[in-house]
Amino acid sequence: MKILVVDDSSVMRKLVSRSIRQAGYPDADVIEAENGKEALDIATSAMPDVILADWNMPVMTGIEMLRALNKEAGGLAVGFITSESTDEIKQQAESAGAAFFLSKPIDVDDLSDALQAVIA
Amino acid sequence: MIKIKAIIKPFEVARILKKLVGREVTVTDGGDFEILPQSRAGLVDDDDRLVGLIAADQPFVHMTGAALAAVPGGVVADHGDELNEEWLEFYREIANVLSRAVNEAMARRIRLDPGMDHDDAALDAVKASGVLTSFAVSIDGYGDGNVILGAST
Repeated sequence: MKILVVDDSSVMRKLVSRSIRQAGYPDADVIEAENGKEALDIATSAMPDVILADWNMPVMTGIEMLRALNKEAGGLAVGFITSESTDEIKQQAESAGAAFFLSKPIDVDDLSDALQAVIA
Repeated sequence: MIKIKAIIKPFEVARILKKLVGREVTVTDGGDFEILPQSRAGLVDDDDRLVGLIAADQPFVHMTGAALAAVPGGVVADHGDELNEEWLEFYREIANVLSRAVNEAMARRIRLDPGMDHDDAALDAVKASGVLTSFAVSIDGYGDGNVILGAST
């Protein structure tokens, strides 16, 4: 399973990678990007099975990335892992076609369920 | 003008920290403490106005940062007074997630300012016009520390 983790915090990228392993995917091929723009470039060439993205990022936010992906590489599964939790934000993510929306701190069981649903 | 819907409760902070560090966490109402300048994190609204803050003492920064980094608690106890930059980096993610507790207590959306370099005057202004809540935090195996969360009213 190839997973692209997108977060401007290197610490958070490490934590998400750790959570992926704990969620039952110790052999996942995890690649990283620092923002939505970099993720777009990587995603269109690497074609990950799922993209796990933060919401607030410099250069290009998570939701901007998802909307751009929908135009350039529709069909890629994108889930958000963010400290944002308002209904408005969740609605935006859902409307743009996000596969799932998880709030930080990451619940490993929730992440496992979300990844399972994506690859099912 | 920001409206506070609710004051943040200790159990909410405990719930977030416990999930972050994977240890038993005890949180009670706290008092005054010496803020570590590097711990100051501003919270901004959608217009990038500074409307809130998170700040902590060095023991909180060290124990939460180390616990999140999966560094054994004994290493923290033996570390001494010098600020550990790696644990500070991990603490910043703690602050980021704790901002959610402030966000949920607010009537509008705020987020952590990635700059995290607000000077004393800016943060004092938030403190002077805001609702601040101080928490005493204990993490099993890692020690005790203090953190404040708050926002302008």
